[in-house]
Amino acid sequence: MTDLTQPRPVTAPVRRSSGLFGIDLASPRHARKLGYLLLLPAVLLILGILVYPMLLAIEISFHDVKFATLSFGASDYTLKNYVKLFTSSDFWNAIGVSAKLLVVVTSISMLVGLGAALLVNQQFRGRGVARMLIALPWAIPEVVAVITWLWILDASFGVLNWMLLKLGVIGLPISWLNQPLPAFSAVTMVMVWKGFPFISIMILAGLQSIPEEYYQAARVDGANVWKRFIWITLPCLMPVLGVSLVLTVLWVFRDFSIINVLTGGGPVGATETLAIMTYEEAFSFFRMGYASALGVVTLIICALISAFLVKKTSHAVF
Amino acid sequence: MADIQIQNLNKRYGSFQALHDMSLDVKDGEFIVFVGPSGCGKSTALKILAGLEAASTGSIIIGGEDVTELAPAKRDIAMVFQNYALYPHLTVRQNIGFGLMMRGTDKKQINQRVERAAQALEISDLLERRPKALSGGQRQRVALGRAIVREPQVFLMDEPLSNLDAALRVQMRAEITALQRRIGVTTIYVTHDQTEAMTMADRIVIMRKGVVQQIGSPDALFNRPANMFVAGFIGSPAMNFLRGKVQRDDRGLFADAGGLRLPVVEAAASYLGKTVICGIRPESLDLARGDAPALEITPTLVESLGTEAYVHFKLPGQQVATAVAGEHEHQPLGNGTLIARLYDVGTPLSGGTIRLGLKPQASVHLFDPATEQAIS
Repeated sequence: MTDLTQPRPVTAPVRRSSGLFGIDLASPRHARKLGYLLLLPAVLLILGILVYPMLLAIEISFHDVKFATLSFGASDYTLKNYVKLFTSSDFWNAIGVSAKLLVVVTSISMLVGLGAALLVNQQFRGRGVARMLIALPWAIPEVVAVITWLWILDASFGVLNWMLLKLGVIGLPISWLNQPLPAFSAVTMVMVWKGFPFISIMILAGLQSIPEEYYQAARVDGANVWKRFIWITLPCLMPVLGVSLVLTVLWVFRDFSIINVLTGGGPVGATETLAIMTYEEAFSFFRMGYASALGVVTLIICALISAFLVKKTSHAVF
Repeated sequence: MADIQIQNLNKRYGSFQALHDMSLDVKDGEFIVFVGPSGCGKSTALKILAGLEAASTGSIIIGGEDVTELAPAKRDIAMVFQNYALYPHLTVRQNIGFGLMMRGTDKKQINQRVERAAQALEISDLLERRPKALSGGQRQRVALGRAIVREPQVFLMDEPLSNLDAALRVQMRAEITALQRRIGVTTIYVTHDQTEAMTMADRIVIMRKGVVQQIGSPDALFNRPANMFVAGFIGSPAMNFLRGKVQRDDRGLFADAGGLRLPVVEAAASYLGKTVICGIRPESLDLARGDAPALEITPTLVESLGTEAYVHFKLPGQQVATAVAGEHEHQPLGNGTLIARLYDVGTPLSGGTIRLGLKPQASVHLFDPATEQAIS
């Protein structure tokens, strides 16, 4: 191409900076150094507030320590905490409650979350408001939300009992938080209420990333609504569902504030999960070594579950 | 296989009219291309044909049956999408067989038909792969496979080549045309690329802003454009438009366009003494010989392509800028240029003045300046 009439424009020379200590971190040779430099504060922070305490907890769990003092390292290493743990019926009860909660809360949350996401993904008037309402429980601080639920669930004055009585579902008020099964149901209900919005938001994002052409092609090919859901929506959502599942499972497993405020683990251990038990051992009975052992076991279980789920769900990522 | 009648089709989105009174008869086995810049209504028309959008008014008859109110699945059509719409979680085999499976065809027959389609498209060794592991051209073939395996009455294709690179596009263009000729299924193909339209179509439907501008064979559109839009859209580089005054002398009727004597058709007699717009294709211009009447121009840019050269030049006051129409229709640029496509120029064109004349047999297209319609 020969340009015959346009004169060449005059441009200013490129400014060169001498960089940090004479090293130009933008040059290809030093680009990596800049990366490490930018990561450094975060790495130091994580080492200080995450890795060090974790190592400390593992250390403590092998000592017979009541109060954590600076002298805990003086006593001998012992497996006493772990032996006590695995022979304790409280521990196995907590494992059972945690597992039950995990299965029930996760599956209901996933179903409700998926349903809500599908609903607000439709075209209708007021969709924006509906999406906001769904996200609302997630935005409220846990303790505030749970205290509100305490009022709703109150045996004498709670609105839930009033509604159920009015509707004729129950004949007598239910003492939600003082009987094992109602307490477990109440915890489940509040956890689902608090947990499903996050899943919904994730799934909604997933739904919006499915190209409209997939559905159009399927309609031309003769797939009805149900077949389109089974053959397109679900498989295309698998990566999102997998990630949501992992995050929800871990959240249910480690959540403390909802149960602690609602039931405190009671009645008679019906809602006492590993997290609650760890807290009680550490800060009610001050058995630090024992509580640390509980923490370590919880950590291992969490790691195993997430490793398994990540491996399982990553198969669905095509 | 079937013929298609589109009758007075209209589509409104609120106050926006996407399609104005479109009517078209497609013969059995014909390859029709809808072409036009984006927003011209071509994709809307295709979606209405497919049943993915409802028509506001009008009707569609495929193979003698009124399908206007039928669901897409009941129209016996197959559609190829711009992004292929291959399901990422299914293998190529499952993708191609999807439509058959949805219709409850038995497994053995699905397999047979999928393999036959795969053979026809030379993708048999890709059947167990997933779309992610395929190149653009291979995905395109799979998308075609999904369409042909059902043996529908009509193929609808929505810009199926626009995601491919230039070289592959030329190859797939030829392959789709050959495939369509071989299986003889009535096909409606949408594109914004006039080259695709020209090379593939039996007939072209050229559209702008929801209105059909002209329907005809590629040759008819090229040689007898109905208006300035068609004239400017079909052909590359685009036609040059110059203002010229219609005059008569002893050699007959002509238009005087800045020193160039353009012989014009007798139909222009009613414009005698008035200004008209003369359309000259870039390939109709040549270096003027001797002292024949010619345009004295100074090239602003010379693009050499080896055997030919595009000479850009300007004739302020004389040239008529038109909307640049490709994928997107742009407003006319004040500084648009005219182009002469010169073959075997020989000596390199220097920065000086050159003289351009009209080739002996070249035709000049005349347009009314007010209506932009062809004068013929």
